[in-house]
Amino acid sequence: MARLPLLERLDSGDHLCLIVDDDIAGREALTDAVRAGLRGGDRVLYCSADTVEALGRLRPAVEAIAGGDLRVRPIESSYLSAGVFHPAAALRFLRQEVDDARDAGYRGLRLLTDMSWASRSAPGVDRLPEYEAEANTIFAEGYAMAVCAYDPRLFDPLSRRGLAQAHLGTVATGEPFDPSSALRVRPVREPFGIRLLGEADLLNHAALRAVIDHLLGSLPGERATATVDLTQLRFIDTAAARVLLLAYQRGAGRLKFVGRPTALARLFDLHGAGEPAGTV
Amino acid sequence: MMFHHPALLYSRSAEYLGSVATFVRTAVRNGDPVLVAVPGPNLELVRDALSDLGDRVAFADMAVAGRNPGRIIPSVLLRFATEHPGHRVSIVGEPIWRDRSAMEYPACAAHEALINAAFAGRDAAILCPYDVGQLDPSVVADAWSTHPTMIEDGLLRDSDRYADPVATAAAFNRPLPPPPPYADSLVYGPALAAVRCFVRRHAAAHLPENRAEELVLAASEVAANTIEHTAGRGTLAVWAEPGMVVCQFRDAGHLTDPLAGRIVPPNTRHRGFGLVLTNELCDLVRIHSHPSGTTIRLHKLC
Repeated sequence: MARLPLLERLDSGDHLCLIVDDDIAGREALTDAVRAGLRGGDRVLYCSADTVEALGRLRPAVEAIAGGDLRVRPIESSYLSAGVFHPAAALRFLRQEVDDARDAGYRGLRLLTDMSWASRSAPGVDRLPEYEAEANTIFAEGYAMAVCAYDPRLFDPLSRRGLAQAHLGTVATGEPFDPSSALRVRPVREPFGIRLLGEADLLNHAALRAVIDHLLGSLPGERATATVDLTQLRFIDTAAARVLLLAYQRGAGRLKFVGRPTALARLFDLHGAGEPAGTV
Repeated sequence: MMFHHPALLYSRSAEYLGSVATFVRTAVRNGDPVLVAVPGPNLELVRDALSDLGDRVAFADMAVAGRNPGRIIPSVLLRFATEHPGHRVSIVGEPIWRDRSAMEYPACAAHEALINAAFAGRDAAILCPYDVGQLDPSVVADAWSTHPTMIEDGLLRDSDRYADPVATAAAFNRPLPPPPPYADSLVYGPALAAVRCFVRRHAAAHLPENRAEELVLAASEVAANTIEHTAGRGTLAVWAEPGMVVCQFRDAGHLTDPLAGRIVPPNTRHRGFGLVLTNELCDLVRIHSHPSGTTIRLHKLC
């Protein structure tokens, strides 16, 4: 039986939680994503606790490794520093890799990580959802993308949910990634802001919150405004709509929405404290 | 400040009009904001009889605004009260009429009981007319349990059967029939997009697009509660009946708040919008909750 290309429709800006309850299928999905990235002209960064296994599997790409197109990094020098997980340090690592790839002229950066290391009791690992959520602010720039492969057997249901909610989309082996059912965030230059596409719900609302908070926090001065274009958002539930409404209230006029999906409209009717300027 | 919640037992139009008009005119004279929310044919009668009051009375067709009994408290009664802060509000609310189905009725009776809990301590009067000539005697008997006072033959008196509203509502927390054999079913986990896709596919075959998407949103909110409040999975069955699409969810959670879905959370920081929105979007929401699990049934009319 032909394998399903799980991650064929990945694009810059995506940040997916890949649920890998089948080791072979999960590794194949990551390997396919490596090859697709190299073919497309991306810098591919592969992080794993077991670099020997990863290098063995990626051997056909030996030239890419030699040429710098593919980097394989052990967890100790990527996510962990001195054996400890610090969200800020992991974000610095990600930022550095993004800048390196840009400087080297790659089309984009594709980060693929085998997250099975996170089930070990590395100090600070409980702050992983914080990192995963905050990393969306880097992916929202539209240059880098990431797939984080988690083995659900290694995490309790609550941790699994917290981690999934920090990603823009969740994919299970056996079900190809469908961008229309995940959230996509794309930068918009004029008017300054972001465009949301796909579906926003309880399962990705922490990722959405990080992106919206970062957008609001990045505004220079009190008069600057940011626009969130919702016209291509196919679905939003109350959990995600609350994220937008809370940011709107906090923004005190500096956040504008274009589009008014049902759940958001109902929340605004109940608690909006006025109609957001710029809605259509 | 007090809450007044009498049932008006009537059997003739003249009796109905006389009592409703007296209630409304007294309230208008006192300067209270007044809402008359009764089903279509009665609405026309009352509107004609009170035409001289102009815009001092607001009207709503209860068969539309209160089609789903679960949304009458948040979307009709409490909404009207919150639109008039600082005023005693007077409302004629007729949530039960002859054509209410056997599936709708327990939600209607629970609603009547829970009005007492939702309005406790509020300055309001809600008059609930019951057509004793048309309604089943058991329905009229239930009205004696859900209303502290009764108006019968023009006389107001205390109900000797009125009891704790939450306990009364709990008596209508009744098991729901299983889905029919031809229903299509789905076991769902955290992937809410899969729930939406499943509901969208079935709903689109029977409902106009905007109504199909309303059912998709309601279904997603119910499934989100499974993910949020239980450690396990849920099952969802979807099927079509004449004139409607039905979704029935089952999970291992236990919904213990009798007013869940009936009270809008005080501000955005609070959770609990999901069931309020579900009540707004559906034409009937039935809930049966027990320590062993919760079943929620949604009806969306074509």
